[in-house]
Formats: sequence, C-alpha cells, structure tokens
Amino acid sequence: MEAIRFKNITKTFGKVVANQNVSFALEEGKIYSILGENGSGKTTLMNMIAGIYKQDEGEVFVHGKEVHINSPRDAFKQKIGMIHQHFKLVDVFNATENILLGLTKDDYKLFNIDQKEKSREHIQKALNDTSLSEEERKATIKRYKRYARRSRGFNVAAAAERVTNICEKYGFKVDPYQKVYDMSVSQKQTLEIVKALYRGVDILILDEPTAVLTPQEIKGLFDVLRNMREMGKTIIIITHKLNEVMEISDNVVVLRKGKYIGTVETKNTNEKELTNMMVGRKVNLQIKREKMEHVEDRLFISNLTVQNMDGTTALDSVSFVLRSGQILGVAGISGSGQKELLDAIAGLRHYKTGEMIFHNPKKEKPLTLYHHSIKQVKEMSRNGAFHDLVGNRVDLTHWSKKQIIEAVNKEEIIFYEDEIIDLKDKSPLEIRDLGIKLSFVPEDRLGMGLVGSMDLTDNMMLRSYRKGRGIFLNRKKPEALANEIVDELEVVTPGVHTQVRKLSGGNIQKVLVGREISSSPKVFMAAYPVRGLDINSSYLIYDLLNQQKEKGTAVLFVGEDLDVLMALCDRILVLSGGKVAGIVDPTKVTKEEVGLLMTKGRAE
Amino acid sequence: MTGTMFVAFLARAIKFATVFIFGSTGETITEKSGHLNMGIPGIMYLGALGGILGERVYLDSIGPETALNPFLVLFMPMLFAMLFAAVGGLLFSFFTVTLKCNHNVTGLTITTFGVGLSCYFIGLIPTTRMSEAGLMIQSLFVPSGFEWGGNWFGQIFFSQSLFTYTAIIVAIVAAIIISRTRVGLNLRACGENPAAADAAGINVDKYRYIATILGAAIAGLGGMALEIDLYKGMFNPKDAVDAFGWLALSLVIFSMWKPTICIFASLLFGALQVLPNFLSLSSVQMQMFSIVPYAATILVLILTSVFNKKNAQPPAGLGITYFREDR
Repeated sequence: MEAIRFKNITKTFGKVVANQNVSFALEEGKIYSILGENGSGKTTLMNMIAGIYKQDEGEVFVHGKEVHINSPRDAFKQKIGMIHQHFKLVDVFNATENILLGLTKDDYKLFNIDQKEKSREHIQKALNDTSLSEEERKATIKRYKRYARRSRGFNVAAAAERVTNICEKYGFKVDPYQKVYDMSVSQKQTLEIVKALYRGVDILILDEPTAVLTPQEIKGLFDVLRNMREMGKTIIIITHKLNEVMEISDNVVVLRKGKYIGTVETKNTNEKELTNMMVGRKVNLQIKREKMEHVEDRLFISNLTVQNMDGTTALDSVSFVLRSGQILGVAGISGSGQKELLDAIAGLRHYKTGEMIFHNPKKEKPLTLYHHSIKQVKEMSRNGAFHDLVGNRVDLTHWSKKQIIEAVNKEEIIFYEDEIIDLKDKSPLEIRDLGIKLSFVPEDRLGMGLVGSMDLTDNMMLRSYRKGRGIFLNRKKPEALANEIVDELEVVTPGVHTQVRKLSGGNIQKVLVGREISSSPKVFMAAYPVRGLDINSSYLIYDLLNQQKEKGTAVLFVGEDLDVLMALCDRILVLSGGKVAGIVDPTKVTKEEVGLLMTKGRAE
Repeated sequence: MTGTMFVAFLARAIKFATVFIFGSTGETITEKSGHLNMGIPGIMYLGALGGILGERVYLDSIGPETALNPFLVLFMPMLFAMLFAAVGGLLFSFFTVTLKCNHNVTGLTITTFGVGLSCYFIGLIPTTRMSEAGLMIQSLFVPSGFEWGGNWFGQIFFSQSLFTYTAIIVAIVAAIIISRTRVGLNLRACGENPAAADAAGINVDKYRYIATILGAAIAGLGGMALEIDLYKGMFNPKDAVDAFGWLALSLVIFSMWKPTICIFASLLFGALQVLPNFLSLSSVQMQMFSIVPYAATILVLILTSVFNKKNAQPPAGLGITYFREDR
C-alpha cells in the first residue's frame, strides 16, 4: 500500500530552485532514508508535506488520494508529523503543555471520552488494591477525583495520562510535567516523537535526528523507530550520514540538486554506490591523517575554570596541551563547554581560575614591547631569554627604560628560545596578533565571525580595519584577499561585492575559514566547520585543516561527527559537562568508547 | 495625614490605578502573543479621544434639557474608546504581521501619531454637560442603602465608577484565560516560540492580530477612564495621557507579565501618582516623586535578572516578527 506519492513537485525560493519535477512514491510500514547533500532539497520536499512550505507545482497523494496541505494543521489531518532539526518546543512549557499545543476543542473531546468513568474505575481499583499503602491510596484517589473534575474542555491532567499511556506502549521515558528547559536534547527529541504520536500520526518524518545525539542515544532512537515500524507506521529519515542510512533504513531515496535520482533497497547497495548517486560522480571518502615529525608543545592550558553568566560552571578544571603539527579534536555532546573553551582561549571570555601559557615560536625574531611590559622584559632577561645581534646573552636588569626602548626599536634584542606568553590578561586583539586564530562557526553561522549584510571585501576588513592611512581604510588589500579566497576555495559567488548573507552555507563557511587561515596562524581553532556543508565542501575543509597541520600549525577542531573526528584527528579530547572526560588516541579506541566518555558523569 | 485625608488618598489612588490596570492588562495580552506594542501611549490617547467623542455624540443626540441615560452615558464612551484604540492595534498588527516591520519603530510611530492626532482633536470638542456626565458616571455604582461618604469602607471601595470594577474584572478574566485555557496556552506559545506554535498548527498571525487589537482596545479604555472619569471630560493637554501609557508599559514589566499582579502593582503606581498631592511638597520634590514608579520598574528588572527566574521572564519571542518560510 502506498503511503505518499509525489508527482512533479517543483519549489523555488526566488531564483533558487529547491526541488525540480520530483516524482516518487513511498510504501507503508517501512523506514525510508531521504539521502542527499545539503542543498539537495530533501528538507524542503519534506517540509511541503508537513505544511511548512507550499509547492509551486505538482501534486501530493496520501494513501492514494490527492491532498492539499497548506499548513501543519492540514498535515496532522493527513496523519503526517514532522520532527524538525531545530525542535519546535516551547521552553517554558512542560511536556504535556507542549503536546497539547494547537489542538482544537474537537481534539480535546476526542481524547477526553469517558474521562469520568475511567477515573471511577481507577478509584475503585485503588480501593481494592491491598498492596498500596494508605498514603498511596489517598494520593491516587485524590488524583483521579481531580481528574474527573477536569474532564471537560482544557485538561492537562487527562492529557498527561494519555501521554503516559503512549510512552508505555512504545517504551519511552517522558515525565509529563517536566519543563522543556530542564530536558536534555534526546529527551526533547523523544517528546517531539510522543507529540506526533499523540496526534495519531501514521507517517513520521525526522529531519537529521541523529545530529545531536551520542552513539548510545542513536541506538536507542533506532530501536524506537524499529518498534514503530512494527506497529505499522511509515518513517522517513532525512540524513546525509551514510552509515546510519545503512543501519536503519529499508529503502533509500536519493536526491541531488533538487532532483530525484532514484530509490534503492538498502540491502542491495553499499555506501560507495550511495555516495556516487548522491554526489553524481566518484568521490574519495578517505580522510588522510599523516604523522608529522616535528611536533612541539604550543599552548598549555591548565585548570581552566569558566563560569556562565548565571553562575553555573561551564568548564571545570580543563587541562590539556595543544601541539603544533597535530589536530586535536574536541568531542562532546553539544553544550558540554566547547564554545566556552574556544571563547576562553580566544580571550572572549573571562575565566575564574586557570592558566594559559602560549609558546610563541618567534625564533630569531626581535623582541617587541607589544606583549610585554618593561618589568616583564627585565625578568625574562634575567632568565636568559634574549641574545644580542652577535649571539651573546644580554642581561637588561640594570638598563634604564629609555635604553631598553631604544634597543628594542633598533631590533637589537633577540629571543633565544620560544617566547613564553601568559595569555591571562591579554585582550582578544593581542591574542589574535599572536597568531591564535579562531574560526568559530556558531549555529546560525553568521552570528560570530562574519557580518551578513556586508560584502566579502568588507568582511575581510574586519581583520584589517586598523591598517591604512590615518582615519581612512585600505580597501585594496582586503579586496585582493577576497578574490584570492574566492579563487582558491572555489567560493560560488557573483563577486566579492556580494553580501555574505546571500551566499549558501558552505560558501559562507569557506569565506570564514579562508580569511582566518590567510594570515598563517600558529594556533587555529575551528568549531563545527563542516556543519551544513555538502560532502565536497566538507572534504575541502578537512584538507584545509590538514594543510594547516602540515604547515606546523596547532589545530583545535571541534566537531560533531564522531566518524570524522576519529579519522582526522591525532588526539581527541572528550568533554562531558564541562570536564575533560579523557584525551584519547583515535587509533586505539573505538567509537563506542568515545561515546561512553561523552556521557560520563552526566548521569549524576 | 489625617484619617479622612488618608481615606480620600486611597480612593483617589484606586481611581488612578484603573487607568493603569486597563493599560497594562491590554499590553500584557498583546505581549503574550509576542508583539511588543510600544504604541500603547498613543493608543491610550486614541482611547481618550474616542471616549470624549463618544460622550459628545451621545450628549449631542439628546436635547440640552433631557435627563441623562445612565447606561448610554457609560456605554457610548467605552464603545468609541475601544473602537478608536482598536484601530491603533490594527495598524500595529498590519505593519508588523502583514508588512513584517520592526516592532519598536512601528510602536513608536503609533505613539507619535496617536498623541498628535488625539491632542489636536480633543481640544476641538466642546465640553458642554461633560462634567455632568462625568459626575453621573462616578455616582452610578453606589449600592442602595449606602450613605455616600458616610463610611470609610464605602468611600474607598464603593465610591468608584463602574470603570474601576470593569478594569479589575478584565484583569482577572485575562489572567484566567492566559494561564488556564486552551486559547491562553496557544497565545503564550505564539509569544514564546512562534515557530513551535506554527508547527503545532496554531495560526500565529491570527493570534497576534487578535491579541494586539484586543489588547489595544482594553488599553484604550484606560485613556478613556482617565479623561471621562478622572478629569470629567475637561481635557487639558497637560493631562499627558501618554505619560500614563509609558507607565503602563513599565507596569507590564513590573508585574512580570501577570495580570493579577498587575492589579496590585497598579494600585501601588496609582498611590505613587497621587501621593504628592496629599503631602505638602515643593515643586522640585513633586518632580522627584514622579520618578519613583520608573525607578521601581528598573529595580524589578534588576531583581528579576539577578535571580534569573524562569517564570518572571518576558515571552522569549517578544518583539520578533515571525515569517514561516524565513530561512
């Protein structure tokens, strides 16, 4: 039996064609994966049957009948529910209130049938049940009496009861009165599924459901989905992760650049074939990881403790060493302190306790007074940090301030070894000047790093605005740099004077990463640099990270895809609830072990 | 302050509180839907204009010697005030929902528009028999058997006009609807997370339109109560209805978006408003005194931020225009 059929669906956003002449059908009672790169139109297509978008052309059939879905309400009427990537939950409401949202009077009537009778039964049962203690019995009776009183109209208690029933049936754990803001990501996802089931959904669509889950939670989700399939539900998963596609789905639908490519049975295919269908040509899925010979300790972080605005601890005594010629991966459930860690290193966030010592590889470079006070310089010279032009050690302890400044300006004082700099009191600007570059990609991509409404050139200037003559800006160099990045990283843009906001996610990312690596950093931090990128762009970014590593940069890479972290990084630091759960060698541990570390200490 | 003065003070404070209750209850309903309507001062002014115009229309429709009909004396200003103010709310919704304009800019524009328009036209309306109507409204609600002014309890609680009791009932009903009903749940969802509300099948645009128009109509009653009841229809540009509007806006924050708290907070603000008249203060001291409500609001803002209480926060989607296909 056919669940859904798409016929010649076309959808455009302005000039961008998201879906073009898509036609295919899905059968009932199976798990489907909709596979495609970012921008292939898979979410857009599903949004059309969920009532978020409306197709420009084409028809949708549900169970063989043509339907017009103009709003999420219409979708519910067709028993279609969608769980979006960003959960559609109201934080300050509890689970039941979220489930009740948007239901009409008729729906309530439907769910409250014989509420009084049912409560009477429950009370009778409680009275006869001898295993209950007196207090428990009183509590139960009280609960159902209240329940009977509220049996008409708006009824949270009755709904909560129904929620509990659904949870028992499918094996979920949801506290109907827990507030959403107290829930973990996986709990929120469960709540979304329960919400759909409460509305009697037959066809459930999940958009990138595993993006924010640990391996263990993913396993739990897949069990639930298989369970739902047994009960006859049709499940559609939107994803670009091949291993999950292979594991969970019965059939795979592949989309590419808005067009339907084909449907294959999972058991008759393999990852390679799927990738080729998805990308349209052969792709090398290997991520290279070469061992560098020259590895030096670059940044020492010890006992770093950072507090949030509301006083909770975001990072708790984090210690590690960042080495040049290595990529240190940071794994962890989102919100485990990754952002705070990078912010603290970049000087954007004050930390309570802890030390950050940077070994600046300024060999044979003269001293400047930008990062050190005269007092510090004297102190360093006593420890033998400097030599003069001939190569003899110099002791500046007895020099006057004027003499020192004169010598520094003539570039006569040169470092013997790495310059050791305490980053504690440095401003973000000073830290940047030391070559510690942050390419932070927050969830909305344009939040930090780039200004959406400015063009490429102006965004380059965010790093060079202090250069130029007097009060006037120098526009030529940034423009040249922008052109260079566009050429080298194959950024698809009409020109360097296009607003960054108008580019696609992948291209925005390339611009940001390109700008940060253009100044040959010594420490390069990238957070979620491939989020929202297609396979090609992702591999391009991995290559760029590897290039930096080969150049002797210390790379800190915060990622979400454990497979990638395992393949790319030399070491992986696992954060759990703001603590370092472990620093592991990816060649020696399994993915499951890393997953366990991610949840370590979270249960308490 | 003597005992009689104190009673008079309390009675007067409740009168002023009426204006605040209407204003901030209306705005609370609007803000719960996610609309930050900064046009409330202008809308309250429009309500004042509507109120006076409504009374005028009624007074002109009857002969100069005819006795006043208590129902129409009360009903006409209310109807006109709600209509005029609702137009302000409709304008706001049209700009922010349909045209997707910025809430702050739209709100401030409506304030400027409402204040300017009303100030000009109210001044043109003749005031014949206005004060007679005002006095009648004030004495309408005196339970039979009660000697007017004979008893302190009666003076405080039963010397008020019907507007006061309406305001309190409106605030309580609003509180019940917001926190206890299906409509209220959906309304709050629109304000907290419009995308979630939309995905759950709620028509966010409809909810926002209705909440804003209804909120504006209720706030407009505040402006009307001020002009008709407190000033007895004798308009003076110095009355500055918009000042009450700004205070009503800050009252919403002060009462932490809860209409029941708003009733008591309004009493406090009303008391602060009239207290200087009952104390012998110099003009500088009077000026200083008028700062107190604003300072109190800032204090509440500070306290709620410091304690970071989840249930004392503004709706999370407040002031954000929602567009479903936004990418």
